[in-house]
Amino acid sequence: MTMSVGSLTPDHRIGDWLDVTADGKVVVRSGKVELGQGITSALIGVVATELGIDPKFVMCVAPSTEGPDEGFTAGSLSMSMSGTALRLASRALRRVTATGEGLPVDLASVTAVHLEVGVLEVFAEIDENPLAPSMPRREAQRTDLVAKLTGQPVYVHDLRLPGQIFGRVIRRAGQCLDLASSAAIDHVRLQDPDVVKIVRDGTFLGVLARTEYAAIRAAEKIETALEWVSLEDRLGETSSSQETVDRALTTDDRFHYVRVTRPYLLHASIGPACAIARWDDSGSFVEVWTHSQGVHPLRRELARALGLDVSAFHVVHIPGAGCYGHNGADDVAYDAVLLARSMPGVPIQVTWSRAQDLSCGPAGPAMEVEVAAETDDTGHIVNWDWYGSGEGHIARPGTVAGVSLLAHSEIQNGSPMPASADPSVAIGGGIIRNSRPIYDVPLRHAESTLRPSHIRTSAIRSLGAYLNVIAIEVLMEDIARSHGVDPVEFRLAHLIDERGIAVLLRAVELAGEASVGESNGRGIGVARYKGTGAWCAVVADVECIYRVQVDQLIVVADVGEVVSRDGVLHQLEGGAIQSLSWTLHESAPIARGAVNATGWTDYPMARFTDVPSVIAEVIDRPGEPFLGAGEAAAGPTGAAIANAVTSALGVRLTELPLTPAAITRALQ
Amino acid sequence: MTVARRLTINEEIVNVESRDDEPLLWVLRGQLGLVGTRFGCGEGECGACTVLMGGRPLTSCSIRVSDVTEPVTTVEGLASPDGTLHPVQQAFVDLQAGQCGYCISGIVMRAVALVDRRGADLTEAEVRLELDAHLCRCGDHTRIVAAVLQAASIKQ
Repeated sequence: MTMSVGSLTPDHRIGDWLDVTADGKVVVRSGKVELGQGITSALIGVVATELGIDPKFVMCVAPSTEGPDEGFTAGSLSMSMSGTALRLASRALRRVTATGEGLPVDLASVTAVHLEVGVLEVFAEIDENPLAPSMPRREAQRTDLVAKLTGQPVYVHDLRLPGQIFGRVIRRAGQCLDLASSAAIDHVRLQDPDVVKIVRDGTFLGVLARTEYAAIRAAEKIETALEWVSLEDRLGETSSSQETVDRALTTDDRFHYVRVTRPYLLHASIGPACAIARWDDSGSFVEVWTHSQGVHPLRRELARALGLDVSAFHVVHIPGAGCYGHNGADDVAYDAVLLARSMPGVPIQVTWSRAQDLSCGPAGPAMEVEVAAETDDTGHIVNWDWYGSGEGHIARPGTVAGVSLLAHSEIQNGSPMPASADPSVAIGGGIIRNSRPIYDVPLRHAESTLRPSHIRTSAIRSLGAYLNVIAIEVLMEDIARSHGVDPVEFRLAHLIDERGIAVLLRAVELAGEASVGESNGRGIGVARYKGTGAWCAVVADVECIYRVQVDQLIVVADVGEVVSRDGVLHQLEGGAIQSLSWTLHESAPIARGAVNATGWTDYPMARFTDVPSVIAEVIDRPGEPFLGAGEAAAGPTGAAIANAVTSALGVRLTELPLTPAAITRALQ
Repeated sequence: MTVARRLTINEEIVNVESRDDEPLLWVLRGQLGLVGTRFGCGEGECGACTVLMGGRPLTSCSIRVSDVTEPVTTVEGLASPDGTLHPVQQAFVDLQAGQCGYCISGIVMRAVALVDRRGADLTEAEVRLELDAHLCRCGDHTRIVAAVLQAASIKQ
């Protein structure tokens, strides 16, 4: 085999992915990082299964720039990329150790020679489907939960390196400090014996202190003492902007149309961004501990920003709080590198404030989608049009022109923040993601418009798929209603994708005839993530009079072969609940060209009383490629809730979130 | 101006040196190295830093160390010395409640107080209402509620 498979390239040796220790344990080297999604235990399960050994003898090393470069842990691709590579590397190890069929690999017999063998060379000599499982499945329990539940130091926030001190940056979204007011800075330094140093470069300003509380205290004091000026024009211009085209829309009863919008969404992780950096004494090598989604891309971006070779950086992943896309992790790592540069040899841990974490990292872009369909005399869809517009869904380091690290727009020799872009079609696109319906309908016209950035935007879980699936599914249900056809029957009449049909029928079957409790509305949403990923169908039951209370969500998915059943269900449940929160509660306040949120009251999210029971199920497809589960439920859940609200109220709401105020407006 | 003071944390008397206005959270995470109590917002809005004081839950970011007058329990103090998990912790493990886990040490603390107070009489509606003081961003709410109810159901 000479083709790449997953993250596996033809030059990879078994030892690039796996190692065996002297005491008989298998060490897994994946470039995919633990974001709270349980990927580590899923990858351990893949290896344990293929080698036929107990998962407790398999461990993952923290991904670092010494391990494989798998880009970002994003796009629900970890299982198809890393999982597939590890399955093949493990199977290659079976082959080269001549392990008999159905037997476990004898780890004591593994030698350095075995690990030198090229993974794909092993399969070049045999004709087989390398993706089919060869051994009974072994599921690995999550190993991180006990540590988290007993208060062990597991997050980068908890790391304490010898001699470590603490840093905070003084920064407000959309504003920059007025340097003329800097006398206040010296005052703080003189007053507080715990403050070690104040670092300033351009308008980048940070404080270093012996304790974390002293750093917070000093940063707050400086922030309030300084004058701030608005900075609306910091973002670069987008060259690819276009005006929206006028659409001459007929209002014929065979013509159906819907326009849906979503506001800016925030990552809103419970733990703020944090990183540690340490320069060596000579100032020529720096180590970084980060919860970034991509240690290699961050390393390249840091090197680019500072004009150094990548070999000057060693970047290690340590978990942070939950990550749902491009948040402030990379930015705070650069903050730490800049602050630590002023004190060679001393590790500096920098954590953002709650206000900074909500407002200074990238937000998920606002977006607008219009879909139109034409039906024939029998009510069958004969034409389908799609128009999507919004700001860029990506500004990750290395994906846009310029240095995409916030502090680089502040330091003296930096550069303006690059404009956000839209991801390539090859990786699923951004605005266009899931714009093509799962249904067998003729796509007549599709057009997307990338608008210039008003605020800093980048990837948030599922990108454009969330709103596109909502638009498609709302229109499908609309057409069904207007023709007096059952919405399930109407979908089935346009669905030829068998695995799509299977998840839809199973979700409907689980939902049963009766809606739950006091519910007065039921809605459905179904999609295949990116058109190439997991299939997912959701049925929502809601109570809706003046506000929406979701009573139950049924989520059924097909993610290909299941490695960890509970892990998949967990991702589906979490994805559905987060989507519920976006759909009903979330909207980032914007002012002066930036997110204007300083605390949780500025950005309400679903709380425990808002969350329904969630019944999740996965259809296992042994031997089918891994498809990933993290983003599959986002669109179908939003669509199911929106459709349930329409069925309860008899009025279609198309402006997200579906708040009591939005309901009142729609009913007027 | 730091002051030497004596606190009871997890049934041990500890000596700390801190300013009066330092929130309990930073004394725990700083001098005492009890990093299981997490910083989330510093404004008492997310619940991540919840500890028990005199058996009652409170957000440790919102209480000055000089106001700490009763014994404090943190998540590190729940398991038995032999490592046996508290029934609430065990229920979270059993149901795999927690994804990123950043919010759960605070939630576990409130749940411990709730289960102690209400035992097997605890209802799902009560759990949800009580846990509204906490934010969970990964969407683990249903598992967390189920875990608290499971722990309550075995409480004598």
